[in-house]
Amino acid sequence: MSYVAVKGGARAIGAAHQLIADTLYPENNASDTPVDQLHQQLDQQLRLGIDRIMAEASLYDRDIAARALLQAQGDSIEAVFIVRAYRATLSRFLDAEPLKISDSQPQRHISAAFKDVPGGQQLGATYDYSHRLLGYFQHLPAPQSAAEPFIKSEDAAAETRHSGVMQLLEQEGFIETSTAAPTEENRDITQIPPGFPASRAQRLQTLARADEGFLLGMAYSTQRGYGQNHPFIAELRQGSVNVEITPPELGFTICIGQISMTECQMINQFHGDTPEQATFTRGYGLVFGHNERKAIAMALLDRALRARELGEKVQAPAQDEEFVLSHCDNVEATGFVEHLKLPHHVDFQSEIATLRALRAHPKNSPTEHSDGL
Amino acid sequence: MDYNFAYLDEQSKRAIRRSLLKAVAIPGHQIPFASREMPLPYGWGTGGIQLTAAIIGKDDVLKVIDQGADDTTNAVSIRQFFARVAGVASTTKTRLASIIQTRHRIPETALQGGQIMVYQVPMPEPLFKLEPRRTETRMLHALGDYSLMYLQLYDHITRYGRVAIGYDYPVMVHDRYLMSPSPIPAFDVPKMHMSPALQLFGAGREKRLYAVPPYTRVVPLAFADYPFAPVQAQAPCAICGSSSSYKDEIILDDRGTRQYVCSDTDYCEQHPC
Amino acid sequence: MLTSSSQTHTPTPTTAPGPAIIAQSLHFRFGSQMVLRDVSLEVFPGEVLAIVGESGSGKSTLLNLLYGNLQPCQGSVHAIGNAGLQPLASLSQQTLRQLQRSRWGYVCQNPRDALRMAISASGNIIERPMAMGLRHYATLRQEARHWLEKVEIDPARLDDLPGTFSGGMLQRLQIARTLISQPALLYLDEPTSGLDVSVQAALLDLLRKLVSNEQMAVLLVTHDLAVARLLAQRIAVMRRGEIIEAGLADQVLDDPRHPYTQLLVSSVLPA
Repeated sequence: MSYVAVKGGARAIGAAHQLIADTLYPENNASDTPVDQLHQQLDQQLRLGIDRIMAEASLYDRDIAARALLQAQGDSIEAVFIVRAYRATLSRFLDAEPLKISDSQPQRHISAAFKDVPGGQQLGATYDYSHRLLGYFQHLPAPQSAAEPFIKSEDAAAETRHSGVMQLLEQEGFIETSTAAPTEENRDITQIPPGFPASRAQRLQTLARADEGFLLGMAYSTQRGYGQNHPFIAELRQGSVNVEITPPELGFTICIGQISMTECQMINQFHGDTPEQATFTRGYGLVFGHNERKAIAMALLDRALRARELGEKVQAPAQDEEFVLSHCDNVEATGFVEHLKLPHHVDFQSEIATLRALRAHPKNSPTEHSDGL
Repeated sequence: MDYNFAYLDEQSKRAIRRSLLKAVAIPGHQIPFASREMPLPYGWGTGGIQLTAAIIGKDDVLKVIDQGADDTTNAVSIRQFFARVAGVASTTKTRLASIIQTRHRIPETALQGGQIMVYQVPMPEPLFKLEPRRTETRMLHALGDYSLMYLQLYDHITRYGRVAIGYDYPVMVHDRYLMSPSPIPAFDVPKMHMSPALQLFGAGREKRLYAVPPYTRVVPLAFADYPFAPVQAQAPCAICGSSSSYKDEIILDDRGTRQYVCSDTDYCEQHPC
Repeated sequence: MLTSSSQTHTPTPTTAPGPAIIAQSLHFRFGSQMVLRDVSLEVFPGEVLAIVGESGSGKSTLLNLLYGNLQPCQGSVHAIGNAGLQPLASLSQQTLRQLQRSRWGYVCQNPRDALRMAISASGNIIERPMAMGLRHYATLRQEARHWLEKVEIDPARLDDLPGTFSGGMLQRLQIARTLISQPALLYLDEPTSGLDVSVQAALLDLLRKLVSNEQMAVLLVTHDLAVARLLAQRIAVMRRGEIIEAGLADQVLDDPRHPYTQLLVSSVLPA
């Protein structure tokens, strides 16, 4: 098949798509699994992959994400793209109430800054302390007790609301108070596009849907000295959170379902010119689904991007708001990077002609171009 | 799947040991080594694990601590790893161990000759916060130019009245190289000075290792009139009553009630109440 | 051409009798282009030699050769080190760097290139003595305050970051940071050219005071003949990589021999 069919482009495209369809839905499908069931299976067994797609697409819908992932043959950025395109067709009827993350029942809740914290350290399902050996989870020693989430400290079971580590540090005056009051211009960045300088709320929204790999690399650079950072995870929490709305016709709040969220509260280096002013500062990360890597990276970047606000010198890429926020979206980035595959022969033709003209008339002989440039 | 004794193949272990010899010969100097992917993630102690794997023998007795404790998740995980791939004896008792792999602490119990400390190091370059480019810092080490770090200390004293570095306190080794002691609390730094034990440092992700041979001078940076003065929790341990050990701060309730207990669990158990 | 004027000009050396720096027949090229041709000079303690010329004449390249940052392709530089005059080519990088940071001083045109902008003013000033082993905070602070006063900056600015300083103040800060080690050899590369005229005058006045008190040998590169007249006892005029005329400052400026110098003087210093 030719790359740029001069004629018959439609036929070529049709055939290209048929090749994909044949891979996705082979005629003699050995498993005979109905497609709907495949989607379910994906959601169950590739949970974290589905979470990632929902986060980067900013749409919490496991079924849609699973369908997109299958259609994209596992290419998560393509899947994000499909879901984003679908999301664009949805009408918005209400803003949800602010999520009460600290009220949620965590499936996982850890603090790295303190050995134990109110609410207890709860390890939950994690690869953190597993060994990356093939077949590791098939050969686990028999569990000592019935399947129970590994809970490290006793009071974790108590169903009470616990104050966060941050609140305790706030009480001691060791950390700046939190400042994220929602205002009109901070609303949904997909409705009101943000400019620069962005508010913190706009930045957090952008980071929450940003490409995980990009955030990871930028966050990593801050740890290696490119943008001051001395981070401690105060709290990392993953669990199901109620989504509540207040329909105007009802006038009271109702719960419309639960979503899984991962939140990272980061404590960072202190700030201030005098001992009295010295306090720890915050970085915050919040992501759809179970994605600790991204929540942590987001918190690191949030803090790095506060450089200007905190009077720090902006010298590393990760501290440069315009640089980070303009390049972190993978659907935008992949579009522009991959568009180089599109035919560019008109532009290129003119480049060749220019070069030819330059070569034809060596320097110091300013002659007019003869080939109609 | 079967793995070689201590996971890595013999060639790889030998290559690491050669780098270690060089490191011992130039105390505090960072030596590049061909760090590999280990089955634990970078940041979890892959440098320390590779060093331990390179030096461990069948007769060794291994102790692994993280935050001073043998029972912390990461310490348990690393101990299990070596139990699985090397089958060596392990202990929680500092004085019985021949190799002690650690993250963030030095045991309270004094180390002895013949023991080896293996430190897990995230950032081997002590100057990285002041100069991120490794090409530059390498030059500064070569020239012995540590003004940047001293200026940092000077500015701390000017702004805060003291050097505000709580962990990973910069030290001069053998009066020549500035070294990161790894993110141990400043409280632990004096234990490194003239220690009878061999101290090895492994940074897997950054592909560097370094060493402090037994009985080597390890001196924290300071000014004559602002001597090195690490901070430490004042309260005695709520379990064993020790007032000389380093403490973990534990939040007990929502009112923010705190309790202080030894971070070194082995020491805490042995310390008479 | 040997431009030494030691026969005609007799400085009054108090400590070291001989010159603090001698350059002999320096040649330097960038790629195939000859940038310096057969340049020789010497400077005695207590003396200021101004190297003047248009931009592109090779004077900054010459300063870099004399400072050890560039190596000549022919010729040699001997400069005062820890043990008298030493050929720069024989110095290890460590020794060179150590000399550059103690016995010599370099003041560049843009103070931002030399200062540590993230470190307080006082931290900038005391870097040299600290690097040379002074580890007593109170003494360092006293030194910082002393030098801040010496360069006429309000001592209340001691702990401010350089970013809050004006251009003139930044240059004073760089001068304090450099002179604190009492260098025997001082390199000034267009030290006042980024500044307003009024600020320039005050700064030149200050430089003259500091330099004459300290018995330093000073190499001043400037395109500004007025600056040269104010600070220098001797002047070397450069054109296209060569010294075309050299001698006592008054002599060169008031009675130039070379047509190019005559042009330069008449265009800049109307009689």
